[in-house]
Parts: sequence; C-alpha cells; structure tokens
Amino acid sequence: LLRIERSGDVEIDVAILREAFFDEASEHVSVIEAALLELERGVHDRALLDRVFRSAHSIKGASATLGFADITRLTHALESWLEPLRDGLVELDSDERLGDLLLAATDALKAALFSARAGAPLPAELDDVVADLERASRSLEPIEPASDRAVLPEPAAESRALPARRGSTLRVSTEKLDKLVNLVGELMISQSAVSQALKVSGNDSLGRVAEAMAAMELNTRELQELVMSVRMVPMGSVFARFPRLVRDLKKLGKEVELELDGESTEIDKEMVEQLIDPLTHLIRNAVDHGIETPELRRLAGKPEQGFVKLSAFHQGSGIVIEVADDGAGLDDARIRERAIACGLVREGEGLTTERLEGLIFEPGFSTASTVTDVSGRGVGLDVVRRNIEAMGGSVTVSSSRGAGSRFRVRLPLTLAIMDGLLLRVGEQSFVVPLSAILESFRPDREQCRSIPGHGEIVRVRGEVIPLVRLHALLGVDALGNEPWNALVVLVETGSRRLGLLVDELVGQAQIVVKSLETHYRRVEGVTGATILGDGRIALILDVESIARQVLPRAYDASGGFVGGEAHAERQLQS
Amino acid sequence: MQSDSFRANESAPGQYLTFSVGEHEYAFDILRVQEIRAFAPITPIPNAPSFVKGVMNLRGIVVPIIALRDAFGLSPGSYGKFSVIVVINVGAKVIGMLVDAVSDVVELAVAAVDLPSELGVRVDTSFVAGIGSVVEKLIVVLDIEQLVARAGIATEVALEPAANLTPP
Repeated sequence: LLRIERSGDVEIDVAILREAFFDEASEHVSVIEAALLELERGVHDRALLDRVFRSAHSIKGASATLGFADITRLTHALESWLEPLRDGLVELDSDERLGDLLLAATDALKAALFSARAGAPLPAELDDVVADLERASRSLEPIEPASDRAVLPEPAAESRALPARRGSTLRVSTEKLDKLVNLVGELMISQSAVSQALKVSGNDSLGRVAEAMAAMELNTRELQELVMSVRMVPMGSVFARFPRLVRDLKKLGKEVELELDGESTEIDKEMVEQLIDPLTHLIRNAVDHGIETPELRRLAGKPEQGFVKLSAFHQGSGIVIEVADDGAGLDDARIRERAIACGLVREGEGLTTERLEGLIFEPGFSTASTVTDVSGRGVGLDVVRRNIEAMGGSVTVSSSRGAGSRFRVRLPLTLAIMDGLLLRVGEQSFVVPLSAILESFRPDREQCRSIPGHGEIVRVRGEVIPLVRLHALLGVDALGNEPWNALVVLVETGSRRLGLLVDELVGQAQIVVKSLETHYRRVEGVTGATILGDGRIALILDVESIARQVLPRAYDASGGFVGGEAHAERQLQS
Repeated sequence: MQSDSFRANESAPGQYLTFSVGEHEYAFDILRVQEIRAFAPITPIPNAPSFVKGVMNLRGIVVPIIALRDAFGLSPGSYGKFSVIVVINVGAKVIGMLVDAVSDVVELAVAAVDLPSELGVRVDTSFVAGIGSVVEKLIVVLDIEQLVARAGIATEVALEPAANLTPP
C-alpha cells in the first residue's frame, strides 16, 4: 500500500482515501445526472442547480487533491456550463442538444471514474468530450458532439458503469450502529449470566441457566435481524439510473413518461448490482416494444405519451418489483404461433393464458432471429428470468391486449438467509430452497416407470414428471433405495417440474447462505453451502441447473413427449 | 510469482513449513500458511477433481480441501486422526491442504530442479517449485499456484483498485 507520512506519526492510507473518493464521486455523478434530467424536463429550481454545482465542485476538488488531473479537467469543463445555467443564460429544456452534451459529460465522468478506479488508462473519448464542452461554452451555443457516440447506451457500457468491487463499502446510520453495540453488550451480559449460573450448585442452577439462555436467544435473534438490516439499502439506488435510460430511449421516436414508486423500499445491497441488468432489460423492452409510436397510440385513442411505471413494494417475506406499461400488450396468437414454430408447444395444445405468456421467458423462444415479429417481446427475456432465478426469485408477466403489460419480479428480501428443506441422500445432507418445493410423497410402485435410455418418471395425478436420482447426479454413495421405499420431493423451476429422489427429509430450517465461489469455484447443480448445527457443511441444491441437466431425458409413458417439455424433443432429435 | 523467484538456480534461504505425505517430506513457503488444523469432517462436492476432497467449515467460511496423497497419485488410504490440514492463502482465497503429518519449520535454500525423477521423488513434477535440503534430507517445495490451478480453483488476484498505481 502506498502511504504518506504526515507530521511524523500520522499516516494516511491513500488507498482508503481513493476508495472513499470513488464512492463519493459516483454518488455525486448520480446527483448531477438526476438533476440534469429534472432541469431538462423543465423543472426550474434554484436548489436543484445548487446541488449540481456542489456535486461537481466536490468531484473537482477531491480529484485535484488525489492527482486525477483528467477528471479535474472534465469536471471543470462541465462547471463552465453550470454557471450560465444558473444565471439563466441558457436553459436545458429549450435545446435538446445541450442535454445531450452535458449528459455525455456525465457519462464520460462515470467512465473516467471507473477506469481510474481499476487503474486502467482513461477512455480516449474523454478528451473529445472536454473539447466539445469547452468549444461550446465559448459561444454558449451547444454543438453536435464531435465524437461519435451511440444514442443508446450499450449494455456493456451499462455494466461497466459499476465496477465489480471487492471490499466495497456501505454507509450505516450511527443509530443502527449504536443499537448493534448495545445488543452485543446485552449478549455479553447474558453470556456471563450463564457462566455465573453454572458455577452455582444445586437445583437453582438449571433454572437460572435456562433463564439466561432464553435472554440470550432473544438477543441473538434481534442481533441477526439488525445485522441483516445493515445490509439493506433503499431501492432508489437501483431506480435512480432509469430516468436517464428512458430519456435516451425516447430517441426511438416514442413519447414516454417514466414514473417511479416505492424508492424507499429496502433491499439487500448484494442484490442491487444483480438487479440492474434484468430491470434495464425489462424497461428497455417496455419502451421499445410495449409502447406504440405516437401515431399508433392516437389511432388507438390513447394519449400520445406512453407511460411506464416502475414500482417496488414489500409483500409477505419478499419484495416485488413491477414494470408496467400502457402499450400494446402481448399478442397471444402470435406467441402461440411462435411457440409452435420453435417446438415449445404442440399444435392444438390447450394452454392457459398465463402458461402461454410465460413462454416468452423460455430460452428457445428468444434466440430465434424472427423473434421481433412477436410484437417484439421475448428478446433475451430468458436471460432476465435466469438472472432473477439466480437470486432466488421469479418473474411473471400479465398482459391485456391493447392496454399494456405488467412484468412482476418477486425476490427474497435478502440473499444471505433463506428458508430451506434439509434432506438426506445416503450419508450426506443437502438443502433445497423451500420456494422451489411443491410437495413430497412416497410413490407407489405403479406410479414409477423407467424408460430405457431416457431415465425414470413418476406419475403424479396424471402428470408425468421426470425423476432424478440425486445420489447418481451428485456422486453420493446411496442406500440404493427404490423410489417406493424412499421419498420423492417434487420441485418446480420456471414451468418445469422434477421429482428428486431422497432418502430422508430432515426438516425445515432458516439457513445462512455461504458462497462456494469465495474460496472454491462455481459448482454445477449447487448454488452455495450452509453450515449446519453440528458444524458440518451442507450443499444447497440448484433446482434450475439440475432441471437443465436432466430435462432432455423427459419422456412420457406413451412414447411421446410431455406438453411443456416439448423442447426436450428437439434436443433429443438434434 | 513465487515460482519465478525459484527459477534462479538457488534462491536466498527462506522459512518453510515441512510435512510428510507418504514417505517423503514436502514444504510450503511459510508466508503462505495461515494456520494448521486437525482433521475435521469434509463434505464432498459433486464434479470435483479426485484430489479435491470437498469443503470444510473453517470458523464459518467454506474452504475447499485438496488431498495431497490423491494429488500425488498415492494410495488414498489412510486419512485419519493423524492427518492434518494446512490452511493456505492464495490470493484472496483460503484453501486447505490435507497432509499426513506436519514436521517442522526450517530454513531452506531452494534450488530449481530439472529432474526430480532422478532424485527418486515420486511427484508429478508440475507441482514442484524446487528442492531444498536439510541435513542430507531432500525436501520438495511445492508450487501452490500449480496445485490450486489443477484443482480448478481460479485465483485471479482481486482487483486492487489502484493501490499500487500512480495516478494518471
């Protein structure tokens, strides 16, 4: 680490200063961007302008101190525009090019901060942006940017905006911190009460120990809840980027208004970065394919300006995020057509609307080149679903023709803890997320069938479900139980169902999720690990990945393939 | 980076932790050793190389365990209460090495080796960083990066944000 000696014994760790600078500068850039968007929409507010000024000035000052000359130069150029803005010499809402120019500067600032943080050379276009800003500010006349920049931010640039950080920091209110310190104090008191009580002999002792233990249990639970709450950040930190996205998407010739709701809903910080991509995708989809062009909307008797609403709220023990638009809605007939074409559905197969519209999340549905024909929906929605499911969530769509669509993302509150079912396969314990489990049962011999070359199936109320012998898949020494002597745990992922063959159900538990990747690597079929009460480790099974591994073998007794699993047929034939 | 310094014919003496696997003595650079643990229950992982025995709970973190007997192609047989886990740091990762017994901490001058087979050491040479000797006894210094890479563990060094870079 680079260290500077100051006044003898005071050492300042420059690396820590830099980290703090990058964290703060990113926040300042977000403030500037949000304020510019407001100003562009015609909000004339002195406080808003002052905020932009302060933020730009903070970045300029700090970057100069730390020696990031290019960042200083860029913020200085940006500032030279803010002054005439404040004095009312120019207005953002009167000239779209000015907005483009200044927002390009915030983009360049983001990119420069990202590169500087990673220790990479600063992006070359930075000089162009500075030149544009300086040239234009001389005449106070915005000019077309000299540098060639795409109108829509590339997805790559999107994810680039947030460096994958290790050892990132989190702000915690002193109030929460004080509570934590208090609770730890309480915990230590109850602990010493236990050891005191143990020293006393006689009948009294046991009662006292039990009493102290009860207090300790309460404290521990409170402590856990509080520590978890420290990890939570308001949803607003995710939402903040979307007004800009929608502004840029308007260049597609759509009139769109984005409404945000529920920004204060709290979510696990871990999930914030993982949420950005899928939500960006859903919003882009809503504007690009959901909202019709102004002419079409006029013809349909709707206001020319389309409306996209992004909202978040708590529901049960989870969080719900919705992306709703008042656009054209899904075209069920064309989805069916498309689904038949790519073999997801058979001709004449009866499907509920829900199940049919759910097909737009299927991988086979979106990779085809003609997909934009289906009212444009489905582009990469399988990726959205995969990302959401990786966080232990789910995504559904409901739509009404002509009135719009609503994508609903459900997520657990935190990635750190989940409800799981502990089960035993051979001598080993595993955990299956409770959210994936439909039921468990001991099948009759007649319910089970083995289909040569295609594995085994179990029939449940007329439905044919592939059966997975977990021990074979996971390489565990098995007891060799036949299904009718063991248990089947019925699980569901996406629209697919599987029966997992296990030896014993141990029980339901709230488990603390640990990553295998931290010190090992990603393991197929496993999402992570947890530590059991006896100190041993149990692996958490990834139902989705198991389904992917075994599904091509899905087969039904009559030799044909099962409805929803029709794409397995394609895979077998290819 | 360690292995580079061994390319010079003989490096400056350094401290090494020696231990036995099968009939031979091996060593790790002591600076890489975090701690030494008694054998504890290991949970197997699916689809892992044969010498990755599984994962162990090390005070709340999930640590993979590499069994050196298996890595060297020795009969896996006798892991038991005398077996010891040497916990190693590789980049940001923490990894356990299962060995037969820990012997000593010694000062070694390590020479790069050409033909360990001539020295009668039955080791896959790709794991060997060099050879040192203490009182006529040859000690094989293991290349931790190689071992870990063979176990399929990616150890790309964490992105250290500009800690050792000069400002642009």
